[in-house]
Amino acid sequence: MVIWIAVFAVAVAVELIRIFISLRKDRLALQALVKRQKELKYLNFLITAAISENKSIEESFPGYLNTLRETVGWTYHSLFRLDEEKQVLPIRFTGFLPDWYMQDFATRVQVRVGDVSVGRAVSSKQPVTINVTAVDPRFTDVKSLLGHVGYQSLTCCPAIGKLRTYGGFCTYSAYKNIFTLHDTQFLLTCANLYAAILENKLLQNYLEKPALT
Amino acid sequence: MIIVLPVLALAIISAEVFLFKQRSKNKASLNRVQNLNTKLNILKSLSYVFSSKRISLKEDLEDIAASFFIQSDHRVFVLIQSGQDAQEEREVWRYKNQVINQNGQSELSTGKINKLEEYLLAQVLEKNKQNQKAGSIFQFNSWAGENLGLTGEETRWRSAVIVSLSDTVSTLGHVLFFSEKENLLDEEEQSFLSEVGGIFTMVLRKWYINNKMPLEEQFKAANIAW
Repeated sequence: MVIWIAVFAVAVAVELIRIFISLRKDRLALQALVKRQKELKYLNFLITAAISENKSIEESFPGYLNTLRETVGWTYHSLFRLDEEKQVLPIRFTGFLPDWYMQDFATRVQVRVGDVSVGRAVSSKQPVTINVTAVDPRFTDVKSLLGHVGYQSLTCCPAIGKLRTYGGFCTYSAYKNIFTLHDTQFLLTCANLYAAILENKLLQNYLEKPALT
Repeated sequence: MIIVLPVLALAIISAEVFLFKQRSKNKASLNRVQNLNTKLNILKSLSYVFSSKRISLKEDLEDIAASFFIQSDHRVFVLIQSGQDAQEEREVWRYKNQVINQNGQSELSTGKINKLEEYLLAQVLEKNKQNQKAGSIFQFNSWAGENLGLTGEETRWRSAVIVSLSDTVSTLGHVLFFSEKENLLDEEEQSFLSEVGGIFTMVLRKWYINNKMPLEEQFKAANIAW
């Protein structure tokens, strides 16, 4: 009888473990499902806005970045402009970054092409992901700033159009090791679409007001 | 002891039933994730069309066809560009999935609009008159009763989806997706095809501007600090 009870107890324990694993799998699948839905929703928003809005660059891009944070997530987003003459990348638009950051960092510090993360992404024309900023050798120059800005990992993607590279698009997270390959690919898609929208708006503006430019 | 054993047995059976239900639920979720991943992958591939150095609309459409057909159920897409005025002939770009050709490439045929396309487009234009908005999507599931006198490949298609390619200024054209299955699109699928339509609109707009400006002027415009 004792043996029978032991066998049953083991069977129940195995069942409980299986239920736990199954529930965990289900939770992960649901998380992935919700994430994909949010990403598609954002791409839908971006493409619809690109073809149906007639706003200027200044009006539209902060909205795109804010919506990305609201719809998909992460902590901050920023878009850097490539100044080809000086070979620097001043920050141009941010989503959810505080004002003091814009004043203290963005207006004084300009990332050089090839430096840090966004500079590397622009020069190599490939996405750059930094999983832990505190220990990354590429971040030694700006380590003093990291305590204030509150991000621990980031992914930067180049914004490349048909005619030129327009700059870089960075996404920051307050957590370490957060960016997956899927995230990087999604952010690169966003960067490609930003560049397409930007190029279209610049050409359209030039076409409409050539005398002013 | 007599009570404990049946209770334990019952607990195990209940757990098995619960796990079975959970597994089918999990499978459904995973299928949906896979489906959404496919859509995201297509959109990711399509986004590269804006940074490619292609020199004509035809080449851009070839890239779109290559990215789209790899994972989509739709067998053919037809892009019908709007003419500048009513008299001007509409340009038609018809791409077939490589599955049909078996030659490893999506096949392009241009030329005149066929009877089925003409009929469906007329339906859309009529509907659009009543409610015109960007990215309008229309689905057609049966036209057998219409006696259109279809011949050849036109008879193969059982359903079609048409997306109006409109921007803030005008309707640049329409894109028609044909399928051999009778499809009733859910909201997700409709939204996805609208996004693909949006990409077509952006590409058409790019070439519209490209045709209006010499290349050196385009570089000048692109180099303006934004």
